[in-house]
Amino acid sequence: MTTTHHNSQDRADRALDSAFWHVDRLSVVYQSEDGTRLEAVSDLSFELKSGQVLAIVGESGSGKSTVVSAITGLLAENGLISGGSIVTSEGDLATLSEQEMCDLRGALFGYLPQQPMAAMNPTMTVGRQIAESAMIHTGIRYKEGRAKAIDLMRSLGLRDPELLVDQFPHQLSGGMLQRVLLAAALINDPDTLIADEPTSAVDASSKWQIVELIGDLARERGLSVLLVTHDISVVERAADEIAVMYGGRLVEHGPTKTVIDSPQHPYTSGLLGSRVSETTPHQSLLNEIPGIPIDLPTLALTPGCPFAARCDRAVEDCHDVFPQTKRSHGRMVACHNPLELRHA
Amino acid sequence: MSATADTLLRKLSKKTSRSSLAAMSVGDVVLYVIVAFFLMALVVPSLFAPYDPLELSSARLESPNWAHWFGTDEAGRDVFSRTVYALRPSLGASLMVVGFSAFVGSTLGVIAGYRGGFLDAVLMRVIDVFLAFPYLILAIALSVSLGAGIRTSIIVLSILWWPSYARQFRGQVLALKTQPFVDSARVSLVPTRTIVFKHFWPHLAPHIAARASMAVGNVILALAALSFLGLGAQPPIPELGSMIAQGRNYMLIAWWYSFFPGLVIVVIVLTSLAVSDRMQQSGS
Amino acid sequence: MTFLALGRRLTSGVFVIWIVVSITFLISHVIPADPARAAAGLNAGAEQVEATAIALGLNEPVWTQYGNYISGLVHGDLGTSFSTRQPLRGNLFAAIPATFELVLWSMVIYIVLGIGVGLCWGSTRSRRVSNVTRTIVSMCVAMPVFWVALMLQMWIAGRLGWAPIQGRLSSDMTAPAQTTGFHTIDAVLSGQPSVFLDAVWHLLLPVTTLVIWLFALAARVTSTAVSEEWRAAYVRTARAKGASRTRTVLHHIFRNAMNPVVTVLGMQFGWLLGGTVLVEVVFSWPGIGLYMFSAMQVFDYPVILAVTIVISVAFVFVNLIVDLLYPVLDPRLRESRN
Repeated sequence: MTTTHHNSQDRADRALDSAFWHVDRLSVVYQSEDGTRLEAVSDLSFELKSGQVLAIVGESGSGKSTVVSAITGLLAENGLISGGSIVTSEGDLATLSEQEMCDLRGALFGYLPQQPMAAMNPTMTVGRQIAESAMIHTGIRYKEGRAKAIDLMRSLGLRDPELLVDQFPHQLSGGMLQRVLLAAALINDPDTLIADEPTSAVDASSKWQIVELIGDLARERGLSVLLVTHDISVVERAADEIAVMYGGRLVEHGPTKTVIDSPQHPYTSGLLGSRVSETTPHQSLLNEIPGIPIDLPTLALTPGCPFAARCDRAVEDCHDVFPQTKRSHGRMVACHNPLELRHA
Repeated sequence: MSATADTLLRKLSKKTSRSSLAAMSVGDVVLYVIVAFFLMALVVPSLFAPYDPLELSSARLESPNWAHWFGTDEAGRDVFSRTVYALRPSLGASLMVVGFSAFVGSTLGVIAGYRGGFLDAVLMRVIDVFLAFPYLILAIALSVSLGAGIRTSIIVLSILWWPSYARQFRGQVLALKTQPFVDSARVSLVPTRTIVFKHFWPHLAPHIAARASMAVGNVILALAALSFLGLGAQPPIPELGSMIAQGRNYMLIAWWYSFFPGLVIVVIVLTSLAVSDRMQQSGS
Repeated sequence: MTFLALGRRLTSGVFVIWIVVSITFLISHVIPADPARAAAGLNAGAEQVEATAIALGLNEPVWTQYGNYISGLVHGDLGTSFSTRQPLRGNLFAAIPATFELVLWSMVIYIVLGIGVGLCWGSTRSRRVSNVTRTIVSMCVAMPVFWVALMLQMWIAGRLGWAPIQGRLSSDMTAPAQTTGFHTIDAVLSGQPSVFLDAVWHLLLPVTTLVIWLFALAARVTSTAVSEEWRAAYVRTARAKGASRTRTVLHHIFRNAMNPVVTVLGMQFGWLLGGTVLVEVVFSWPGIGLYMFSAMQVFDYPVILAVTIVISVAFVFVNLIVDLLYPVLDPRLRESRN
């Protein structure tokens, strides 16, 4: 399968068909040797649109990392997509072979990992790591790749890229490495960027820089971005839409502004209430979500809404059956007893 | 897979598979039987050996048959019986070497790791010199000086083997030292000796055991090598390495003479590796 | 590596050699009941023993002997053999190339084979492949090296005649002109293809014996290092860029896994030398191992001591090279360029 090289003309055409990627009822299961199954993602559906940033938010154990692994085809040995589809312009990713996925990784979509220092090969120069994807997919030699890398580094705001390109990762700061990784992800000019918690291991100032950079790229290049994070403040700054996950399920989805102003799902409300921002008064108590974070093994055995045990709005149905999705005004929520919409 | 999903899956698996823990695998049973056989043959060889290992007969250099499973040697002695009796100098000696070096090495290593300072530095230098140096060369040089024989081999190999234990346990003690329970013990003025023996031991014991059982295999290879060169057990005492050496003289007409003792060594080493693996698994 | 660091390693290397030499010297001169008797021969009369003692300087106090020995060493005098009563330098240096050739060929082959197998073993996702490899490797490690040598000699050479039973060259061949001391290389350099083939034919079994044993050790440590590296974050990044598993192993994992592997290989060199002695004995290979073995049987201590020194030097040298390799492998260990 040849890799189609997308250019801006293609993208302009595609922008008319505004839904780029369509993830439909995706379920991912991990299986151990003795047959125990753990459903890490259940029935997940969302769309990625050109030029827009979709943030998937959730705590650890919510399944958001698994979503990334499933999409990129890098699930662990004992993981598999048990249902649903990931429809892109190159077909349903869930059905592709390893070889076909190899052709798409770095070409159809770029991947921005977390923990920049750990995510880079310490024994390879920065330039080679940036150019690698181009060398793999377009067959160019390093000489050409290096030149491309330098240009890309400059456009991403790295100073003196001619010097940086031959250095090793340990010689650069975390923030710089983050941009290097971004360059590596974008060198083949993909349509989509999957950012896997890019801000979790980065210092505060670099955090905002990278977030703004991602936002700019989305707008200027028509890049569609899937931003996975647990940090709501980042979502506020950069994301156009927010999707909230809990216990492997999508519990709320909608435009960032409206969801944050008026959350419908009790979990979302709790998340928003517990975040620290510049406006949080000193020494105020942070609202905690009562109860202990999700214990998936227990979850695997109980029906109903995964949040029911910790929810202060739980009704009887919540423990028995997972709520149906309610859609309105371009938003969706999966809750038996959602919060009232606050109208602006 | 994310670390969370990994641990959660393992937790889930453990919950549902507890019932199957009782069943031991076939491999484990076979292993225990083999170990039991070797240990018994070590202690009571006469139980397993059909002939007296020193008994001469006129059936010289007979190939393996029903009467003599491993054939006979140039003096008509039954190779199988000699092999069984050879376990004592071979396996027995290696157990002694391992025991001694494990004891000395781990004690010194633990003390050095715990005390630190000058003692530790000196010990580490000594260990560095010993550790990777071609031990066989040193063993040869030492054995020649001390005089050939099993006793020499045991002494020489013990001297050469303890440093590796010392290093390993020093490392583990250094790691353990940072644990909070050490500080609380210290604060309550528990004497060093008690801390080391009572508190560290449960953590260290499985590692010592695993290391020791693997060492049995390695030491027996070293012992056999020394005996092969003529520095170990002297004739007519049967020893696996020296039997192989003797078999050399009859190489073209009596293959069984050198073959079987070597095969037994292979089995012993494989067994010790397997036992070591099991111990590692159950310890961690 | 800085000159200071290099100097430090060299000094510590010399220190190690000195310690080993001293220990061996003391042990061989203090412990044996009567080195003079051993030198004179077990059947020698009292007068002969006396004469031998004087001739070889064995009647002087130990410290004097030690001092003489060390100063002799520094001047390149490696001692006098008890059995030949000649300086042993000649015999020793004549034997070194044979061992060197055996060791070098074995190393090249076992390292390539061992690391290659280790890379595959550490990357395979097939349980079957992993278990089969582990079984084979365990067997290779469990077999005593002298036994393997003997079995190969017995069956491949003795029964099947596919390889010579012993020696470096057939009796009707003459050694090629000495440039390197390696019969293989020298034969090529002097344009003697038949000698080259003969030399290779003789190297076959001894090298195979060493390789069987050592490649297993190398494969094991490489496999462990590689499977550890597969779990690293940068591997995921590489895969996410479209790198196939093969490319990931060769371009990314290999170099990072080599650090622990090189360390262990350096340590294994000591074992290789020990194994070489055994192989030389079995195949009557005229190297320093066989020389030491012959000396051992007649209690020729100076020879044993000299061989120990040569081996110590080789060992220290190899470890030095290993130390120099680390910065090459891992840029983080190099001095900063800024």
